[in-house]
Amino acid sequence: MKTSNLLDKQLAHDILEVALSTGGDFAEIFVENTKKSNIVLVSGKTDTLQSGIDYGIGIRIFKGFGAVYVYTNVMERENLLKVAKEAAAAVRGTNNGAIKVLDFTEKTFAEKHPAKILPGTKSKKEIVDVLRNISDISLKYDPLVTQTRGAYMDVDQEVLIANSEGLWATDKRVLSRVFATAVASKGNEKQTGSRDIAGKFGQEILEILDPKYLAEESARIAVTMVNADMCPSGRMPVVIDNGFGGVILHEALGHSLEATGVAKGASEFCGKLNEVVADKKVTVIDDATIENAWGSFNIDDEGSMGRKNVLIENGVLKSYLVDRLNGLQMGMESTGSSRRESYKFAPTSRMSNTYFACGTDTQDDIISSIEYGLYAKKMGGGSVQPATGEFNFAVLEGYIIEKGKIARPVRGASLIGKGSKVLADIDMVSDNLEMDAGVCGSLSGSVPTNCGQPMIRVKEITVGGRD
Amino acid sequence: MDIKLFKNALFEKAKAYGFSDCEIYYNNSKSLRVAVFQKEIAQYNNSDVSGVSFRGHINGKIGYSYSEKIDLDAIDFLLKEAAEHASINDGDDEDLNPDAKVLEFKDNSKFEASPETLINYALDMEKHGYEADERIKNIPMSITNTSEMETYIANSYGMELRQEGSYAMAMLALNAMEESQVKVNYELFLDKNFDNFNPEEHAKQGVAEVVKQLGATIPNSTKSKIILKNKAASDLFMVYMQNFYAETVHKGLSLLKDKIGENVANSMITIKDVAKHEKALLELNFDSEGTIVEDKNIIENGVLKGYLYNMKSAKKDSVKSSGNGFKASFKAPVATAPANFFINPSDKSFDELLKELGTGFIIDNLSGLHAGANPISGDFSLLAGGFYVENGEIKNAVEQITIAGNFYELLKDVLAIGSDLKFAPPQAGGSIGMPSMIIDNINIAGK
Repeated sequence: MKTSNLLDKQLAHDILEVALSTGGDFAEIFVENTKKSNIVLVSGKTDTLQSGIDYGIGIRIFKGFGAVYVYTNVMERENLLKVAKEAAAAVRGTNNGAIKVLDFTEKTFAEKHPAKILPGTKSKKEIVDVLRNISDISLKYDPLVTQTRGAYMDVDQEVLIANSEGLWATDKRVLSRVFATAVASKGNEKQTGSRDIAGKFGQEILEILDPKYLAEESARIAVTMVNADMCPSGRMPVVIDNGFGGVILHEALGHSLEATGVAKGASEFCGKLNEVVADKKVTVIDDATIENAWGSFNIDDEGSMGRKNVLIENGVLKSYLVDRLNGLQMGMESTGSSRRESYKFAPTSRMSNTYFACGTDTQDDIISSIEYGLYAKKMGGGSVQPATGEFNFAVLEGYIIEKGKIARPVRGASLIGKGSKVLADIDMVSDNLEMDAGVCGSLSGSVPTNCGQPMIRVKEITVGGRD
Repeated sequence: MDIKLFKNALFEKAKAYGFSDCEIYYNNSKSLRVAVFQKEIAQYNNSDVSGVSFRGHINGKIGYSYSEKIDLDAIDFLLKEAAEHASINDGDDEDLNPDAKVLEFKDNSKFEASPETLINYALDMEKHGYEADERIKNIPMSITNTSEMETYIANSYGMELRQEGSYAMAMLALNAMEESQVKVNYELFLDKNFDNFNPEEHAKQGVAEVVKQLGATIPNSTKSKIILKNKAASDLFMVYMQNFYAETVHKGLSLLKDKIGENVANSMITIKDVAKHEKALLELNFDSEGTIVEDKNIIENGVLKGYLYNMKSAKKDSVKSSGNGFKASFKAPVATAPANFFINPSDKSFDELLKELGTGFIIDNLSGLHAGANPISGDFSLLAGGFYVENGEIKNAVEQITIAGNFYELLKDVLAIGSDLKFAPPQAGGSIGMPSMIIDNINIAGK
């Protein structure tokens, strides 16, 4: 999709030239003009109604394996050249201006994720009515549901990426998400449940979404959990269900495969390419090309085409997620994985839509294989320390499995462990792959990513609970 | 463009759109950040970013909008969006501040630190880090950072307020290795003035923190007393902060509802929220609604004294705003946040806390707070690291444990408070400061 007027070509050329004037190896400009809209209802009443424009430029200069990054939203020519000059001053080069800025060639590509209805087309009143309907259904689901929260957001981002090698790429990225949360109360105890729909598409989301499903699923989880006992702690086999269950993969493996950590020797998967790192049932893919998926993109934030990267194939590590700068240090090409939240962040290697490929075990086989363990039906967010692979995440909907049967719901559970260990301990993989949206926060800010997997069994994980 | 000229043009046109009153909130932040890796500048970030938000009443309802484009073209966008938001707003109304005061608060601890100074500091800190201990195998980041900010609020009632602030940060990420065990530590240093920093001291401190984690083992699961270190305590309080907001109480989401005048914590706990504190990085003389920040006790000797208020929640309870109507950024609506919120320290040194603990654990880092802590119920189950202590002496480091408990029970289970009050980096509004504390009845999940 074409966008124009973000920056004059001559000015872009001049900025890049100033940026390289002190001996930088490569310079890049990222300009964005992004409209965002955000609507939140609490128990059917409007709570947040906000919209605005994010607008600015980031200039990046490479020197060796290091980079200088500056950003501003004072967009006058004079200031931009001044900022570029300040950035260049931080490049401690000797070979002044040796690298020339090449003439721009416009990058062309097909729009793989078209938005049918652009943000701003439908009235905000219509959006409020959809959220209110979801809230009404949730509140009627069960007397224990005392509160709801419904959120709608859309993003309409226009970007320009230009670099000293002559790249001139523009793109328009449209994202939408609707999030339903229910709160169930019983005495002093409150538990929440949520369900969402999200994609790299426009306001057609309002037509695609199923209000009854969002409302009832969020209410069902809240009510189940408010009636649950605390989860026992200890080491036990754990079944992690499909969809957002893939957050285990995202946290325990994905982040450790990002070049950001790998290039600096700060990942437990350094130097393990083509080695066996998981059971042969495990295949892991990061795919930015899935049509209209939340984590997809046409081009990454360095202007490289998004692509499908096989990270682990039948247990063997095949690829990292590589951005241009870290790729230099690692001697590897970009994998089209460089992303950033906005012009306020230098881009770096990030995930897109990351998932375990399907296996052949059935869900019944997996559950019935366990004498005593935890069934994590819905996972929450988590975090990981890439250098050691230690991770931690919350179980939002969990059940104890006893004698091969799902016995009772439990709340307050968390899973902790080390990525490489868990990966090696996955011994059953089912065939019901699904993906769910998340927002991943890391060095280059918060970016939309999908987590996905079929149901899997992990031999043993430490479950943190309260009893 | 000049913010006062922009304001005049915006207010003029707002009248034409039918707004009966209006407000502009402007924020500028400048930051310089240098990261060094293996004697090279790995990152150099310099930024200068401004944004405005608008809010105003039209037909008796309030509407919001914001823009990072501050030019005449942005005015119609701001007013059109705010008007549409007002037209569908059926939430509680909020007033603009009718107090027509004009005040300016300068930065009292302003300092100069050139890019060269920051680069050399990061290089020095990295060098001293490697020199301090041979078990330091990797220093993924040696970072220095200075931040400056300016906030300006004006409204159609004649209010005009400005506040400046600045602070410096240094961070050393260290990986230590011994017998194939890798330990990681991020040591963060904050000060009002960059000149107070010393790279060698920072490096030594960071290295000491990471090497003492080597040899960590997984302990058996148990229920134990712990010393929750100051930084970890701030991290935990961050999650539960919202329960002290009147706004959360009104929504029925705080278990502190109807608890004013009651014992909600051990009697040794006094929590204050103040505009300035000698150990806090920023002075916050007024909040994002232009209310002067009032110094107050939230908990006094274990008894809940009051909540944090913005204008909207204050109106509901027929009280005055406590000056806690902060926005998370210029893009965010007015919410509630602390100014400088802290537990009053005692005069007990960390060694005295250790003796008092006897046998138990020191917990000095918590992770997964956004996932493992339920802000409403108070339940938490968090990945933690720290040390095992026997008879007042640190025996060994512990790893891969979860600590689990409940925030409200924890407040009552405090057995002792230390003197080492430390403030976390400023977030929306101000920051949270905690001393280390001994806490009883914490579930430790290990082996």
